[in-house]
Amino acid sequence: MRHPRALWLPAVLGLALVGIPVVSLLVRTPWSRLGDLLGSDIAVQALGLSALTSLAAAAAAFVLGVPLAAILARSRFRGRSVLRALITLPMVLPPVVGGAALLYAFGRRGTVGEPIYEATGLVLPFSPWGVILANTFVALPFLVVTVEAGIRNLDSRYESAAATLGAGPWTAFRRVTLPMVTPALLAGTVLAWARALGEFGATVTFAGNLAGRTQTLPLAVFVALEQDRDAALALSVVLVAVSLVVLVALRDRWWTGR
Amino acid sequence: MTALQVDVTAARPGFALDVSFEVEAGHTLALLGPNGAGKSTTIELIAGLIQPDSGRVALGEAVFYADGVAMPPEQRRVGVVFQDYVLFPHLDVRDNLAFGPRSRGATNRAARTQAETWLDRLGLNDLARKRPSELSGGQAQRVAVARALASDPRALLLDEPLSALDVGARAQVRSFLARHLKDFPGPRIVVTHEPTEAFMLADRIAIIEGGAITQIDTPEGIRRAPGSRYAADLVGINLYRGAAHDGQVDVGDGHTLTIADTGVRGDVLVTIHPRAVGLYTTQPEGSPRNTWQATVLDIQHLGDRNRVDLDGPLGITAEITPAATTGLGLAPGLTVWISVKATEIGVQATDR
Repeated sequence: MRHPRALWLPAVLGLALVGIPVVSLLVRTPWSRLGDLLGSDIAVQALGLSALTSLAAAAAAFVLGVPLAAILARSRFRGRSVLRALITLPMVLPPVVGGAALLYAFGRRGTVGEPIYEATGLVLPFSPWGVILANTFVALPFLVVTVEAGIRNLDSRYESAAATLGAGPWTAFRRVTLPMVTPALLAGTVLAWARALGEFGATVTFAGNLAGRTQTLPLAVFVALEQDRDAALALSVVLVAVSLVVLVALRDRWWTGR
Repeated sequence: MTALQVDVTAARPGFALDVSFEVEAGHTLALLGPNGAGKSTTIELIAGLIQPDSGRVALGEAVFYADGVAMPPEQRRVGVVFQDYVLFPHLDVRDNLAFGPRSRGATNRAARTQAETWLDRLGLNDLARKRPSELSGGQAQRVAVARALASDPRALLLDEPLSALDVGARAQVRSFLARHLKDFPGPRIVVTHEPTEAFMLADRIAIIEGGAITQIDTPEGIRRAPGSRYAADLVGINLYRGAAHDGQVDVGDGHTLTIADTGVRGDVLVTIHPRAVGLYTTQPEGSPRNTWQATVLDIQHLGDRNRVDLDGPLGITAEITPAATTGLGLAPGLTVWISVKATEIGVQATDR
């Protein structure tokens, strides 16, 4: 197809808008001191905490999200579209608002947080558990949306065939549905993990910014921008690299619709 | 004897299904009808994949559906062979066969042994480690049959098992089915819209039109007396088994038909459409034709055409207009000449 010439200028400007900041970041990065900068206590703590909490959030999103996706994809009930809208809400909600909502739900005085605190003494906000909770909150919809699409695209007759062969619903789900949507499971999990790794607003609102305890990679970048620009650049490079690897790995599954 | 009894009604988008029939163990019923007549719906109702609005489905003592209570499909032990196979793409052929036994509680090893036994019995050993995506249509459908049998079903349902296949594969799978269906001890149902398939595979044929069964009879009974225009069009064809050689088919009792295809050899199924059967009061002349004398047994009136049953060395049915019937002065007992062009005779090999 021939492109109208009028498309070129805005297209190039759009590409520049995204490309120039990334390139500028890489140009300014103090590559020779990268090892030292990433080896500092603050950086190591942030890297470790981010790795731990983002993986935990991805795992939580998988355990909770796959069943949710399966039910949304395969059952028909009133209010299903409302439920689907609700679960995708964190994708478009400002993360700060999400963090505030989490405080009202799971804070020490929250609707759920108060009974939890009184029963167990566990306080979720401003703890690594809080980071995981905030990360899961924003990451879950990515997994649910991806896996639900995968299951919905699966011909339900495979499950019917499994039933006629003697497989109950659980066996059919475990041995037919799940293996057949493996690409969607992988894509959904990786997207959820990447989203959790980059989480900022909900985390800082709900879990705070305590170095070594709740200060994840993005928070450390934000703080370092005020104090040590080179450290901020070094940590940013890590996040850019991880994001690029994820997108390249998913390039066929996520944006070509399969 | 464990018979499959079906007596259900079900409202479906576009039509209402209301069918009642019974299939004895060790017998094959063909559900024959046009697309959208309710054939596949009937299969799904028996398998439990959809539920009827009312009625009863039972296999011997096991009640599948009655009074709004349905047994889940996984407990019915009804094997289903789907039109487009529906093999599990993530499992190789052996594990597709092992899926049934595994689901019914066999250990992994026992299930695989059972799968291998069936592959062996059906001559599919070579395919054991292949993925469904590596199989041809004919191979995939044979594996689908094997998978259904390996799950140890008490009834076997085949939903248009040949219609997704090309002509060559169709003949192979048809003879595969003809060979192996009769070894299955329970009731069997084959859904089809091809009369030849129904004739070759079934003991009885149920004609299903617009959600209702309009006739159930043996293939011969339906051929002799089709109950509707549709049935007459579909199954009122003349069918003979015979042995072909050098453009001739020996159809028994010393009667031989000349056919156009000189290459076909061995056991064949011969079809002659009643409209291709010409009737004359004197011996017709010229061209390589099959001609012989026969006696009129019966004349059925089906609106704008008459079906004439004829005796003779080869029993045959002709379809002619009422005007031609009058013109020839046809009446039971009259002797006439029959003529069939070699090119009007359909020949299908039944054994490969």
